[in-house]
Amino acid sequence: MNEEGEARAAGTDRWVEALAWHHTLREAPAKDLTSGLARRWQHWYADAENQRIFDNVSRLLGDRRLYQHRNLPSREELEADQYDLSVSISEWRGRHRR
Amino acid sequence: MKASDAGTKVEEPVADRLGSPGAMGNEVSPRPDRSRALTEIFDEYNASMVRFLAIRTGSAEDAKEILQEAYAKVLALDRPRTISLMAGYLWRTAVNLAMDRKRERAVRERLGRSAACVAEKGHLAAESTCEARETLAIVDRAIGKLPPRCAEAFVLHVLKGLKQEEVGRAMGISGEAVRKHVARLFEYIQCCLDATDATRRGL
Repeated sequence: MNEEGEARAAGTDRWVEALAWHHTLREAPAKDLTSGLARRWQHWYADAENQRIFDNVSRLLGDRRLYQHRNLPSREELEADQYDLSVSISEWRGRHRR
Repeated sequence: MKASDAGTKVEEPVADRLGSPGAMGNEVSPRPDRSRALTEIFDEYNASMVRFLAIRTGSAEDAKEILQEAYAKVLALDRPRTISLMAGYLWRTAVNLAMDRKRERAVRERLGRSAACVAEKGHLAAESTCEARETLAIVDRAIGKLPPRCAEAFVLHVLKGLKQEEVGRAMGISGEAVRKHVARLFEYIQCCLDATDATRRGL
């Protein structure tokens, strides 16, 4: 993987990590919210880019009721979907516009 | 302070505000070394603590109140402790206060006072700024442009609140693949927001 590819993968990993942290902080039973977890969380959140992404994830998840009008895609749309996650959606859309 | 979250930011070091007798209604007279330690803890951990509590309680206001109370309890400790122990005590106290707050809210809701309704109205009022509406419109447009499988993951996981494993079963993929779909879709939404920010700033 070249540098650009590695950077993209790292960016996606941050989103995955942010989602996992959001789930843990919201849902974990109190007994699991240990000092060790606090230290890991504080260390992770101290990174400015992690913080930016986590705050956006939180905002989007907090606003989810505002998007409730969205329906599931149709079977035809799902069957025709060729996106394979290997590139960002922006890149994929760019390729398909050409 | 590292966090740039205006909605949840505490304006000044709590130790400073609690330093004067009677602040916040507490007769607390912290020793200077303890105040300094607490200021250090504040600088190091406050942003992540506020964020954690806001998510845990679902309310930025509750988060700030709980953290103030937790700081006051740490200041009132009768024996000196290391910063690490004080930070641990602060975390544990905040977790317990958040649990108490959640239980109180559940009781209020059972009594029909509809705390959730009040919170909802407050949230909508906060959202009624022009920039917030614009942000929502950008996100809405971005969601409309998602590849169908990502859109499916968004509806099931984000809107319907299904767990990733449940979404995986519904979509016929693994929980890990669901996480990747959700990560990609959030990445795209962020990309759309960043592009708008750059346009606003004339970049």
